[in-house]
Amino acid sequence: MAEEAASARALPWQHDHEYLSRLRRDMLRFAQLQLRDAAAAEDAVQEALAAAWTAQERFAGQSQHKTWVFGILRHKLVDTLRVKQRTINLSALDSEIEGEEILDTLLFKDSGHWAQHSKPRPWPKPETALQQKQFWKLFELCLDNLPESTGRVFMMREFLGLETTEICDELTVSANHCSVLLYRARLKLRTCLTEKGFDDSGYDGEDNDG
Amino acid sequence: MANCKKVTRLLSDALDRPLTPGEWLTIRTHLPMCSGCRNYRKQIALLREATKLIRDGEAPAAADEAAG
Repeated sequence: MAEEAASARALPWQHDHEYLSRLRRDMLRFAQLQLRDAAAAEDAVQEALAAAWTAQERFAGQSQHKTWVFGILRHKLVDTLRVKQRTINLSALDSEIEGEEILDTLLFKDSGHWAQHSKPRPWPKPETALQQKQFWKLFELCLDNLPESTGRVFMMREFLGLETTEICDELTVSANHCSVLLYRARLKLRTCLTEKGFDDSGYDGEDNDG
Repeated sequence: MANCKKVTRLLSDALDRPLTPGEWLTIRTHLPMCSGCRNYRKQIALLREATKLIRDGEAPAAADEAAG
């Protein structure tokens, strides 16, 4: 089937094996990052693809097929996380928040100002950074390194696009806890990227007052 | 005077909720004097941009060496 139509540019996506396998691979990576569970990720991707298949007439007119399918996947992931969420261990969450306080001590002086060694230095400009393989590789690595709850809250916010209030409700934690977790996630991610060697030594130093 | 710990927290909060005028004032008086916090602000903005690309499936498959 796909063989005889292979030369046609506008192959229906379900029959474009090459496209489909790339799509599936990217979806799996996305799902795994968030669920940290290969089997659950596989299920979510499978369900999302099946839903995309049956709902394909609704896709008509949209330019980015992949974006559309990822939107479906995000809904599946929200569902999966909701079920998982109920099993979150709140005392573990508390100890994670407390445990992270050591990070503050490492990054900031007693006065609350950056410690000399940890003061953020410039990164490459966004348009450069987002083109760099190194950036994406380190970014995924650092996402994986986030502590469980911190990572989950960050991904619910940034990848699934939930509002902070929804996330707090799901986790049954206070708004303050939520925003602390998001703050720590961002702080950790940028620290991790820097420690793993992402910087811009060739930058013109616009923001480098010493 | 606000310290970096407080300002970085506010800059993070600004990505999740509208800040009060007082909070913005705290940020605005601090940033011109502190390159560390200015860089931090750009870096968390980049993190947001990157996650947006990933969530739309538009991140380059660069993380995967085998990607064609």
